[in-house]
Amino acid sequence: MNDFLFYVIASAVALLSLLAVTLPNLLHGAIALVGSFFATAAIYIMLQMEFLALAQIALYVGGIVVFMLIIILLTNDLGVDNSLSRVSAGRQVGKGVIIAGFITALCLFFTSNPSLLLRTTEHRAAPVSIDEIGIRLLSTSNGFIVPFEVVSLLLLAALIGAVVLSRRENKKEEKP
Amino acid sequence: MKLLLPDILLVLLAALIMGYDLYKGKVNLTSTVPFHFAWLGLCAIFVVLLRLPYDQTALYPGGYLVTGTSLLFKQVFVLSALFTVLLSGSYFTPGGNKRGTLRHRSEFLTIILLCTFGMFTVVSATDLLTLFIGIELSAIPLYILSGFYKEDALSLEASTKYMMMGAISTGLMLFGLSFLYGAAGSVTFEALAKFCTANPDEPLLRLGVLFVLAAIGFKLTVFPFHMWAPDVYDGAPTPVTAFISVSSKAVAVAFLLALLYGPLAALHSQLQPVILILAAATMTVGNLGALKQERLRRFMAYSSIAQAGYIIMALAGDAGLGRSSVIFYLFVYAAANYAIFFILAAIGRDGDEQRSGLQGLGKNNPVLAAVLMLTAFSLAGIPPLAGFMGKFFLFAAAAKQGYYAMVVFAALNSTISLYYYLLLVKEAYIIEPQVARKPLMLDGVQFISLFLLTAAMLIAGILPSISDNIMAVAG
Repeated sequence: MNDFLFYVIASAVALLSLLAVTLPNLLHGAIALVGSFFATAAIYIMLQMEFLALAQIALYVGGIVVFMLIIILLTNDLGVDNSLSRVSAGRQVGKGVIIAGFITALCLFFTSNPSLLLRTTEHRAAPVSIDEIGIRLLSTSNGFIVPFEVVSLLLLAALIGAVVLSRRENKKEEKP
Repeated sequence: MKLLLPDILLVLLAALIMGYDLYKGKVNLTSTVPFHFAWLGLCAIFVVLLRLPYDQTALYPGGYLVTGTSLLFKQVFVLSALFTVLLSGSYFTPGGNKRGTLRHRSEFLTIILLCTFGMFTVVSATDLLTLFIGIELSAIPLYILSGFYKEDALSLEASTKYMMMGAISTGLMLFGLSFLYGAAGSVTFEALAKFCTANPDEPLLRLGVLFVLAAIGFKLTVFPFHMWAPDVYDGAPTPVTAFISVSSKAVAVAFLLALLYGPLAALHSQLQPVILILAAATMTVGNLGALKQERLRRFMAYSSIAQAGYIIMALAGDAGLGRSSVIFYLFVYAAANYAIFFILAAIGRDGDEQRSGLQGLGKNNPVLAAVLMLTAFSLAGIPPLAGFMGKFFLFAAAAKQGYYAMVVFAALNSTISLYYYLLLVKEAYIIEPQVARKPLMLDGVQFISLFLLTAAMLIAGILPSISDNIMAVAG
């Protein structure tokens, strides 16, 4: 039953992601993306990763996609116009051949060198509680305090950059 | 805490410059005080770095590792940031550049410093997460800096293109790192190394390495991931181009060194052929591409693609030789590249940064022409200069593993590169200018910087003590 459910959700994720990048109307694409994010969250819940599922819904569905929808609706033509360029059939076939070849190569590689990890079932990770994540994130031993702190500098740099790039220049201001 | 001093000082310097701007920025937007803060501070950090003990290793809480090798890399990053700051001087002064005057100097300097801190993090990381955040902190600011000419379409194109390519490479890297994490069950280098030694044939591991190599290939402009480089180098403001060509490349190499000789050491013998093929293809593509370039920034892009090929060739060598030869070459490469970019800044004051801008240099300004010649020879690897020693060590690292055919191939490639570096010299000495143009002039900062860089190229080529010291620390 569990396996069956997984395959249903996984194929839903694949289908919705495919729709998100192929639909000519950007608005429809964004809505397909919402569905794909929800289905991903469902997979996380199946794996008992509640925190990830929550973050997925809060950040991606709640934040990023709504943001994208607003941008699409505010920029006039993008939402209605069929503005994605059409690719010729020959190129589509070419791309398909390359991707199929790549996937076949991967499959061959994995069947000739079966992974040790996929065969053993006892490697399954234990469910992680939100408390544990918080403690690991800030603990100095066996934790992630360094990346946690460095991320703040990354955000600072990105923030400064965003302000500089998006600021309207006032030419008069610079005259000494 | 002594070994952590450069990192702390760097963040404090960034905060100081930003803070000064918040306090005084509204009053005087063209103030040069942040500029003086930045170069003085970076000089001070470099002095601190030189005075630290290189034979000690310290692991700080949270897994921040400082070793002699990482301190050497930090020297490269600090010097590179210092010369970028000095180079940017004339681009922020009105009339300093024909393309336009850059604005928001203190934001520019803060972003450069934070970016350099990201590079510090990469060489000090002991887990995949820190490594990833570090490499992102050293990449994302560069997308912003490339777009600093806000009214220039080329600059905006460069920024957008760089960001797209960077996003793809980040995606690939996360994918690869998650495979490595999935295989080892932990993000620490220690656990990953243990797993690699126990199961070197695990396919998930190879898949992870494949993706990580592809991702870092983007940053290092390795063939076939190099196509963004010419456009970005050409569009970005020249100081940013210089910073991308030196620091961004150095941090990508540091990242590869950290993984290949650290946790993935057990896979190194399997990866050697891959590295050599990538190196051979990269140097050939770079050299052939550079032959026809008229625009100097684009020319430097292809030249630096070729140089990346020589650098990764050394990664096929053993840990000691690989590390020390790469670090020595990075110093040499940085000195030569910055010298070229300072000359570019002089050309760019009154004209386009094209090769024809060099015409008549031999007559008008013989000293600058001589510096250009020395730099071109150093980049090509002509004996008495540092470039020769650098290339010699890189080739020796590969030769020691028995890859003689590869060394011959690289030497042939080096000969091709000599042709196009000599084109620069020919332009400066032989070709008569078609139209009368103003003789190239250097301002004080440019003069002193070029003097230091030229001295470094000569001294590192002649005195063996510098390369010996690096060998002793990293070897």
